[in-house]
Amino acid sequence: MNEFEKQYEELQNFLKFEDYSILTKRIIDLTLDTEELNHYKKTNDFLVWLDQNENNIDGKKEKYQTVLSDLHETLSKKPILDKKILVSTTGLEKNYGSSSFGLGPIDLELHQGEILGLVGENGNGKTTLLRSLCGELHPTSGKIDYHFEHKDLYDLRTKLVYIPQRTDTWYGSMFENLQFTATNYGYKPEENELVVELIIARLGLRKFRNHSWKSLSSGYKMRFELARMLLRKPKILLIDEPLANLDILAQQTVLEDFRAIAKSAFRPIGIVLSSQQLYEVEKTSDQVIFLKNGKQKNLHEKINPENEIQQNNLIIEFESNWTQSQLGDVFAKLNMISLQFNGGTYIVNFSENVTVYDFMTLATENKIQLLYFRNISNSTRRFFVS
Amino acid sequence: MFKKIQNYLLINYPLLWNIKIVPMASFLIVFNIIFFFLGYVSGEIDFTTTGGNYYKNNQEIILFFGVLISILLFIVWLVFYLKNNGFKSFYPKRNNSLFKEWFIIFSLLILISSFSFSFLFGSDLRVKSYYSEKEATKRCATLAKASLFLGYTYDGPQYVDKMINDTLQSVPLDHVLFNNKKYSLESLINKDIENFSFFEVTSDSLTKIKIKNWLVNQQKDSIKAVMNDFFKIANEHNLRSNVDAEKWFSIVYNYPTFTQTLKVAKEEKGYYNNYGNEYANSETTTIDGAYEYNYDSINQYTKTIGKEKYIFNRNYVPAEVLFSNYEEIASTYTSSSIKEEMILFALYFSFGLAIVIFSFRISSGRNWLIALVSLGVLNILLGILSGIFGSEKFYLSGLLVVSMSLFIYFIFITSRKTTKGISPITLNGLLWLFPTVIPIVYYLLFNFLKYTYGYYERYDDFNYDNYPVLKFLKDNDESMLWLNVVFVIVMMYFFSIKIKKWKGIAEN
Repeated sequence: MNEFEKQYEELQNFLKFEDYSILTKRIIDLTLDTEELNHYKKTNDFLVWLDQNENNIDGKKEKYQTVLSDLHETLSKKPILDKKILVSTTGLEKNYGSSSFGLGPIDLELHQGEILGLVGENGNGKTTLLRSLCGELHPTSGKIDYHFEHKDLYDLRTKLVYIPQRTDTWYGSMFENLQFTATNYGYKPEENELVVELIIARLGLRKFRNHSWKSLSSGYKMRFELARMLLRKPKILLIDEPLANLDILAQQTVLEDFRAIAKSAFRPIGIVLSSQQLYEVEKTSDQVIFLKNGKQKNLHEKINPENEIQQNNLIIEFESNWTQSQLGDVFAKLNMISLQFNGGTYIVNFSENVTVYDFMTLATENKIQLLYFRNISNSTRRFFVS
Repeated sequence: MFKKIQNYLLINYPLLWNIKIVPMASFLIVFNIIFFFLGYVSGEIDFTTTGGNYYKNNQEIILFFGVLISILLFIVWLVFYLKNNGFKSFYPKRNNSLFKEWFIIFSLLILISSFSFSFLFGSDLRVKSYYSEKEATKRCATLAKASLFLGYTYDGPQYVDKMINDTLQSVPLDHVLFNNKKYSLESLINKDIENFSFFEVTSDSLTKIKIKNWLVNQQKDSIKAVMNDFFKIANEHNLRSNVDAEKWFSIVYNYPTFTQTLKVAKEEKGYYNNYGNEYANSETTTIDGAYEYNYDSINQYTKTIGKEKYIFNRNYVPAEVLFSNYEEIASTYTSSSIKEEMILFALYFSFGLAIVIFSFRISSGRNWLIALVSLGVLNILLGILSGIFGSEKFYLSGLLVVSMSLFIYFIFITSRKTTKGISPITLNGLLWLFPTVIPIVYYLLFNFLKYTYGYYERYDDFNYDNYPVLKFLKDNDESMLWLNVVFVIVMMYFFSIKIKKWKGIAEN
């Protein structure tokens, strides 16, 4: 079963459980994957039908199934290409003149369909790395190789979309702005409006198409930026703190959108995003790079084994109203390596032969009052521990 | 309709949509047509009055409004144009796309600055529409000939050199010589003719001699024919006179002396206190500080109409009004109201402004402003230094050196391809200064050659004909400015391609 079939099966499950909201989005993604005008039209008509038949439960399911099957028929004939490497850096370093801060050396690789998360405290080089990757900053040493065709530097930068934390203001109608982008990126006149409609619907912006930029909340501004990005068909999307201004629900939605966009079977792209939301980013990303004072630590070994810290220890983050010494006494039984109290939460470090079940058993036996606990052995969260 | 067209452009030609070319060009064309029409209306000649000056006052107001509308339209357009910038956002562009953008802005600015041309063109066209050039020339010739038999004034006396008390002095003669015969200073032989722009001074002299020969040779028919032709023109415009050709002839033709007691005036009446009018030739006396004119009571009388006192002429033909209106036509034919310098000025203004907007577009507001301030400071410095050295050539050479340095720096940055350095600022300066390079080099070369050929040592008797290169430079400065326009356009093409590549280079 190829990647598309797997994704299609997932969509069938959404339909089975009547999870229409996500299903609609994925249908739009598939429609855009077809790159065919008649599918654009059909899906747009379908969206209009949905608007008018919100409560038509039975008809809805049937209609969804028809649209899905139709898309399946077209897409199953479309070849799925291998995921190619997009960018790699070797010993990338960036210094800012007299400033003591320096980024790197950074070694990374990004393939089509991959999401690379950048985490780290403020001022540790996340934005510098993003700006270097998008061509805004020239490395002081080391190099960045882009493994796709580009005529010159301008051409290269048309294929790298960088969305900074503070985006520029859009003037005029949002819809026209998107149409302008679509035309510039070669969408044909007859498909222009349809594609923009689809993308607006994809990002839940239909209600806001006639709003002015200033009347939008920062979350919706971000979505419009994403809509524009989708029209730009980038090879790599670089995005700085996309979750910063979003509520918890919107964060999950946006991350899910990133996954769907990056992992498209037919038009996969690479995404590099920076964020403070460790656990969310870790869930979504294929690789996570932790930056501390510009230095790189990788979450997954495959990137750069020599930078990797001892990964097999069991590290637990938890909250308890017990004192550190009470806890220390109990954890000593499991040959605890360290126990740190870090502003409300504890982080305990055990050697590699201790498992999470041992920890749970110990906690239960000693009736340790735990408010919550999380195994962060495989999370960059552990790098934040001083 | 605009919305529909704009929408079409939006999905087909995003650059044209962004520049708002259709609404803007339409407005500009409509305004140009309106100004052409206003010009056409204002070019109307009222052959019954000499009031040609009145509309020229209106002309200034209309041209002022033209400039005002231009500025307003420009600002509104700029607001819309600056709303989107695909180049800044790294949208895909063809190599010549930036040049196209600049050239369209340039064209729009030409349209913006051409309101006054449309107005003047309309006005000229209306004036020319009355008669063909051939017909107008013929009529002016008739009027010029007839003018010899009109009016109260004569030419001044001729002067001869005489030795008085051992010094050579110019002494006025009390008579005038024609064909070796003496005539009174107040004879027709000592009269001038009206000049029309169609005719050169030499041509006028020949005409005068011809008519004076008619007089002395008693070619009465020729003279009467001129007078008849004059009346044909006057009648065509329904102008009144109180003499006919026969009477006119009998009054002025006094063979053989051609002195005149009775005269035929060029108009019916004039204001009594009209200073500078031809009656003022008579002696003036001052009563209570106000000018009083003695008038020629044989030929004139006074009459008060309402509160105004007039001097009426006993014999008159409507010549003044014809002279003034036909001169209007003649001068329009001989020199267009639209002068080459005006066109050059508008052209330089347009592409100067187009380059300023373009540079704003490709850099950023901040860099553009820094460039403006830096160049301002640099100008002041160069100004002070050239003041100290007492030479404008120092200032111009300074600008030239700056332009060259900016050019070399830009080429260095685009070839190095690492970081932009300060080129986002210096590129602005380069774009603003490079159009001045050719004129400055031209001027400096001209001055250098003047210096080497010794112009400053003997400029009184310096003959340019001996130095063909110098003469060529002296005579062709306008051609150089035209050529520079072509040079700037070609260079903008080169720059726009380079700028696109430059844009891709890392900022830092």
